[in-house]
This record gives sequence, structure tokens and C-alpha cells, in this order.
Amino acid sequence: MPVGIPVLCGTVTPHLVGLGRGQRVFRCGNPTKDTDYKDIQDALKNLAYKELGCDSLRLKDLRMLRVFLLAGSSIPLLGAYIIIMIASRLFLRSDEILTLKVEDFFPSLFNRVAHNNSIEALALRIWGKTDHEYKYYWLWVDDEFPELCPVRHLLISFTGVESRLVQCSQRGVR
Amino acid sequence: MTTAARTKSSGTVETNDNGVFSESISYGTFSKWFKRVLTEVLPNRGEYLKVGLHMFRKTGYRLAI
Repeated sequence: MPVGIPVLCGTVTPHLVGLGRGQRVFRCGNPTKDTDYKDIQDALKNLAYKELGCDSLRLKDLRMLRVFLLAGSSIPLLGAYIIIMIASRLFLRSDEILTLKVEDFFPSLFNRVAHNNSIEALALRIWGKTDHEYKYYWLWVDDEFPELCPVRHLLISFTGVESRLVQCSQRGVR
Repeated sequence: MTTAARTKSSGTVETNDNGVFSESISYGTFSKWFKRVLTEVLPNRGEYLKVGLHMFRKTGYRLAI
């Protein structure tokens, strides 16, 4: 067989031998049958990495959580419900929402309805996991399901507070 | 926002009686507490739910549908 002619190897590992300068190289064979590929796959299986995964909550679950968390009229538990709802509405990860502060909201950017001066949306900034700077979001009012509206609960929580974290405290969650 | 504030294990939370918090809760503490709440609130289901970083994201997808 002349050197440099592509070989139809099938499932056999190709060995490109004898290729001289200027000769074209063709890919042939099944790379997944290669011993190097198999060795890497075996090494990946032996790693200690284990995918944890997580489940999602249903609407019914959120409503039951609200009843439970707001039953005690506790501000920390109200904050816990708020961060759960904000994270759900803005598709945030848990570690992104736990550091959210009141200062991350911008009252000057709040979207107000003209005729009754009610707030329709809140503007806030989030530092995401893969972000290199703050990203700005709108948090909209949900008039259809007020019990799942984070804005209503946030405004209740903000009353009379100048600076703090929008979250539950270690003491409150015990 | 400082780097320390964004760390998952950012330590304990100091708060006063007015509910004004100055330090963020750690993710590990929050997830353990949330698992306990789910077990209590959702009988026969909460103890089987896996609490993770993306739980609320996935919940948001359900709300968006």
C-alpha cells in the first residue's frame, strides 16, 4: 500500500505512519475505540466527583412555605421568604441571593404607575456567578398571584429600614 | 460588594433585635435550615427533596411556564 493513502480502518485504531512532508492526512477509524480515549474515560469515572443535583418547588409548595414562614410575624422569616421569591423570579442561584442588600435596590429607578403612584417594578443589581460586574434587573409586581409577589413582601420588609441585608439571619433560621 | 461577602462560608451572622443584619448567612447554614423547613412544611415530600444551589432557579422556570 502506498504511503499517505487513507486507510479505511473501521473500528481499528488508525496509525498514520510513513506520512511524508506535504502529504495529506485523512481521519479514519473510530476514535472512541482508541486506548488513550478509554484510559481517559476510566480516569474520569474514578474521580471523586459526584453530581448532587437539586429539585424544584411547586406553586403549592411555595404557598405552603409562605403560610409557614409568615405565621410567626417574624422579620427574619419574612426575609427568608423574600429571598426565595426573588431568586425564583430572577432565576438566581442561592449564593447570589444571600448577599443581596437594601443598597442594591435603586429607588430612583422604581417603575411607578402614574395614576395611583403605585410601584410596578423594582430595580436592583446582582453580581452573578460568572459576572465580572453588577447586572441590573427589574423585579416586577405580580398582581395575578399576590401571595407569590416578591415586591409586596419586600416593600413591607423595607419599611423604616435604611441599611441591612435582605435575608434571614442565622438567629432567625434556627 | 466585597469578596468576603460573596464567599459561601462567610461566617456567622450578627444581628440586633431590630432585625438589622450586617453580615450574610452562609450557604451551608441556609441550605440546612431550608431542608428542615421543607421537611416540616411538606409532609411525605419535603424530606425527599434535594436542596441545592439551583433549586430556586428551577422553581423560577416553573413559574415562567
